[in-house]
Amino acid sequence: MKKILILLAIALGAAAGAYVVSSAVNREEKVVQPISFNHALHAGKYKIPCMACHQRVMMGDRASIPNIEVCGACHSTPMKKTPGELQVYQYVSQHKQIPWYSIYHVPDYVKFSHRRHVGIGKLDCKLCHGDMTQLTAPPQTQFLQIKMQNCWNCHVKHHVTTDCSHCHR
Amino acid sequence: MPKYGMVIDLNKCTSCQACVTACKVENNVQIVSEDDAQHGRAMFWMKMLTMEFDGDYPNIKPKTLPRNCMQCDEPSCIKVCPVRATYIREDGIVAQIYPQCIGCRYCMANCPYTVKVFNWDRQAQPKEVEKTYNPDVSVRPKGIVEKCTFCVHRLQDASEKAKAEHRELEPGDYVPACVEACPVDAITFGDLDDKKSDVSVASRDYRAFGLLEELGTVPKVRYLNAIE
Amino acid sequence: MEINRRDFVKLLGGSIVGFAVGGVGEALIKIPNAVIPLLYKGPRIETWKMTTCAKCPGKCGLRIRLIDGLPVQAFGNPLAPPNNGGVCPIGLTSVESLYHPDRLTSPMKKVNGKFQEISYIEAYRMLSNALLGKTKGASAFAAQTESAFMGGLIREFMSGINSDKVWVDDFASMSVSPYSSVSNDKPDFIDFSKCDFIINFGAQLTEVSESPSYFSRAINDFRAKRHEFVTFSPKLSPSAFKSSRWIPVLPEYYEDVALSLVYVILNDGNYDKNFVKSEFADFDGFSKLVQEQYSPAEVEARTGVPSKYIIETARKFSTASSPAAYFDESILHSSNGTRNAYAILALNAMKAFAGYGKLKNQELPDFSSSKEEKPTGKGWNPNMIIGDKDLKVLMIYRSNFVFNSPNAEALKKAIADIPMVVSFSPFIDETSELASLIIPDHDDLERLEAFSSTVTGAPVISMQQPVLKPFYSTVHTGDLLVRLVGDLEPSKKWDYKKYSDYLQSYLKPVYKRGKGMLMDQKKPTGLEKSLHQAGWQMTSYSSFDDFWDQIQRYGGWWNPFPETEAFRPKLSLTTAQLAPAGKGSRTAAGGQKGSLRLNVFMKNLDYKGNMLRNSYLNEQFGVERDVYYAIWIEINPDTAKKFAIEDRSSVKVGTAKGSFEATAIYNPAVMPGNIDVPFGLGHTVTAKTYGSNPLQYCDEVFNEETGSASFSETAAKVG
Repeated sequence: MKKILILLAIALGAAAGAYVVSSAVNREEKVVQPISFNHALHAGKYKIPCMACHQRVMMGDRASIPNIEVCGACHSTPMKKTPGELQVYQYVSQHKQIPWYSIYHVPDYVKFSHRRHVGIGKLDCKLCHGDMTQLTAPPQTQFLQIKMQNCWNCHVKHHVTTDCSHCHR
Repeated sequence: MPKYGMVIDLNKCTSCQACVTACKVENNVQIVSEDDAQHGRAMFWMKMLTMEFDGDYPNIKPKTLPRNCMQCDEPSCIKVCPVRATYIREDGIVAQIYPQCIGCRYCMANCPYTVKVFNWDRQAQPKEVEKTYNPDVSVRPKGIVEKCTFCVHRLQDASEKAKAEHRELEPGDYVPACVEACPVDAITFGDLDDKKSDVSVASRDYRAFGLLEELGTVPKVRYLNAIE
Repeated sequence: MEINRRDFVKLLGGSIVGFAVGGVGEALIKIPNAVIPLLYKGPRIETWKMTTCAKCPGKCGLRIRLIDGLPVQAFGNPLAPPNNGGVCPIGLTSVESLYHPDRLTSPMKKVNGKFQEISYIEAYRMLSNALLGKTKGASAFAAQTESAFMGGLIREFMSGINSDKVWVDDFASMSVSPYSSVSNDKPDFIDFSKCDFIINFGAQLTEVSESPSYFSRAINDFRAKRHEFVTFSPKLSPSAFKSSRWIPVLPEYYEDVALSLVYVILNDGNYDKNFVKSEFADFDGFSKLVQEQYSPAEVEARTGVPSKYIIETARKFSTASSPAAYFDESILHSSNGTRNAYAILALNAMKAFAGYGKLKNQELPDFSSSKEEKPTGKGWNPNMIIGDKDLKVLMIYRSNFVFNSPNAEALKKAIADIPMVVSFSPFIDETSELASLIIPDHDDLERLEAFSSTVTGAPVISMQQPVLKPFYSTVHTGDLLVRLVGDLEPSKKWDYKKYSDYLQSYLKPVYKRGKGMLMDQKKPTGLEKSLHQAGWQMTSYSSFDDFWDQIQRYGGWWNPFPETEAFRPKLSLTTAQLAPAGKGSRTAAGGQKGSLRLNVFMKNLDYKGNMLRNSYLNEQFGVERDVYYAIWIEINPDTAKKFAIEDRSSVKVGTAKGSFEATAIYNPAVMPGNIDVPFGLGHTVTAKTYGSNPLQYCDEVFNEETGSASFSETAAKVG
């Protein structure tokens, strides 16, 4: 019995350790984006809806980070001479992809779908991403940390399924 | 709530192994090293069982059997799992939650069908295989047990799609990869509780049998005997 | 030792730390590099594209799943008539070859025995200079393609540079090649809807055939109607155990069996007298030959096939309303293969080829004009390289004939003497390794190609569309040949600039005829069907350009309701073409005392020794025998005991050409006296090499007419 208990403890540690370590790294990392994108200006002042740029939010798992195809719709000619805007214009005019970093990523053993949460569940983006209309610079860390505890709390609160295999795969 | 089940018609099966490949490709099942494979650690969720023979030469027939997880209604594996990494869902799928699994392998020992496989090692996969990974399924780490989940990721996607289109999940929206790939439609899949569904009708056929039914595991994967 | 809860928690904590430290370096949950960009960055947009699998003769429609524009998986196209959504293991892994690390990325030239990358322009110049101004017969082309379009182009190209040394290894036309010398016509398909009795001579219908997916379904439907299906073959293959009766017989005795079936039918008098009278040229001579030498008792003595089975099968065949005796390309793989085929033709003639069908209107592009000049299977084949002093340029397209032939050593020596050997293979294999210049073709997913087939009983054109742009600087061999024709023969009226122009010129008549439908909807039923049959069209295209776009997008075109007719050939079969029994070049490999016979069999996981570079197939090759990454032999337990061989023991299999190690596996379904060896293992060039190529140990026995290697006429010893 004791032996089994010890073995069990070791094994439990092994599995837990593996998962905690790998996801923790991504969560704490501070990210600096290639262009200092101003959400407050776009979404706040000009009131461009989130979906205008994060176009796949109702359609798929990923909300998608807009790139030159989307930015180029407005920034194909330089408008004002702010440094960030000029950078965007350069990427667009040279047909080069902007190397955005994504801050939020869910491990591959979890199914997270924006369509399910925003499209079907009608959740507000703010719930997980905070009020982006206030941010003049791109966020450097996750607003709501991607932790199972955070998923769980919300699922329990809203009486959504907490069956493991509904999200894990 | 549907109850998913599968019926494999051995009369139609040509043992072409398309289901075996489809399963490996769909679920990113690891290709083990030569050494491990020769020690019986090859990983197959769906496997063509080694041939046995009926009759005497030359009137002889081989018995082949594609065998995946039986998705028992009374699974013996879930009873021994210390961490509830494997459990039975409401729709009858016996799920395996990889992040929860501690790799104790009690479930493997308790499975009468030996359908569960253990990740003995995580080897570098051939380059071309890595690039063709299915992004819908996680790549399991070393030291955990895995098994056929009736391609539950396909159910996740299909039910979400149905919801987005404001309709119920229809039969045929969700089928596992082996069912889709079978060139002779030997595998039927669907809701066993729906008495009119193909799979339910087939499971009550006079040819239907389950593997090791006498153990009381109530397998939801059933077979139809070959017609002589 | 007492362990309390506190200790347990301590242990738990310790182990977490311990593993956490180890975990970083070891990366237990490592995500492969290849998917990181997709996983972290891409919008993960899923698209599906239809194409056609070109890995075997099956022409199955494929549905490629692309994530963010990169193919990740392949499934069957549910609207493609040959496979109806199903697909075999080879098709399922067809994405693998796209990313394969062994792929050639640019043209290569051999300098001092080593390959060096060169530019396409330089490679093209080398090839065209080599071909320019050569005398007749100085160049040869060995190709393996299932596309009649590509085959036609190759023949046209070769006739342009004044050479008839062309060999196009195409399963469908090889299968009907025996018809070309003894009959004025060839059948289009075996009519499963009409047939009620089938005798199959060695064809592996569900595994290696003109369309494994189609035949698997057709056989199941056939059996569901409670019709009988008899297989004569040396091995209880999956196709053979799908039949109602398997009768073991060695391939070189097929002619004896077929003719003794004829003997019974002739004596019963239950045959189509009108047909043999009007269409069978030398029927009297033929029936005399059969009566004299092929009585069931004599044949039993020669072949070991019990005469009661022969009589039973013959009576079933003669009383059935439309029976068929079937053979395909596999019959050529024995020394007397073509004669076997003639005997089976004679057997079919007894019932006027009732089980076969023919399309009334030729709706598919016709390449037969060039075929009649040089019928497939006749004429040149790669074995003729040996001793050919005139040969200056040898071109090889996708064929790995060195691996597929028992005389590899002689071939290698002969190829080394040819000044210019050009290979168009996308991979380095046993044959392209010998080339002096390689201009690699695209991968199948990057290629444009068209296939035509009639095997399903309907005319089908399957399109292989480029699913994505080529990764590397590879060249479509069709484009290359089209350009070469234009450059080498300025006088010729040649309007084509690209291979697509060539394809379009052959597809235009199909469009103009306006019949059939694209693979964009299910086969019409009910009212739609009758409208369709009345000539009403539901086309979604208004111009040829539209048609060309859509035939690629949907994966093909077919006519679901073709007009068919009975196949009624005129046979000019002479008794000389059926050599007297017991004579001819039959080698009695099993005759030697104390020796066994090596029977090489094919599996559906490989086609012509080219597929096992796919890792999944490689692992799976021996799974139903529980053998991994090793070669095995199957042996009858009774035979094995005579030689004191234990089950699953390692044995040495020896032939006149050497010996190889293998695991011996008891299989009660193996013919006593045979050792069954799978074909496909033992590559020496690709990275994944294990096992042996059994053909390299086989005696150099070939079919006299087609040069196909014999697979089962080698004496062997085990111990």
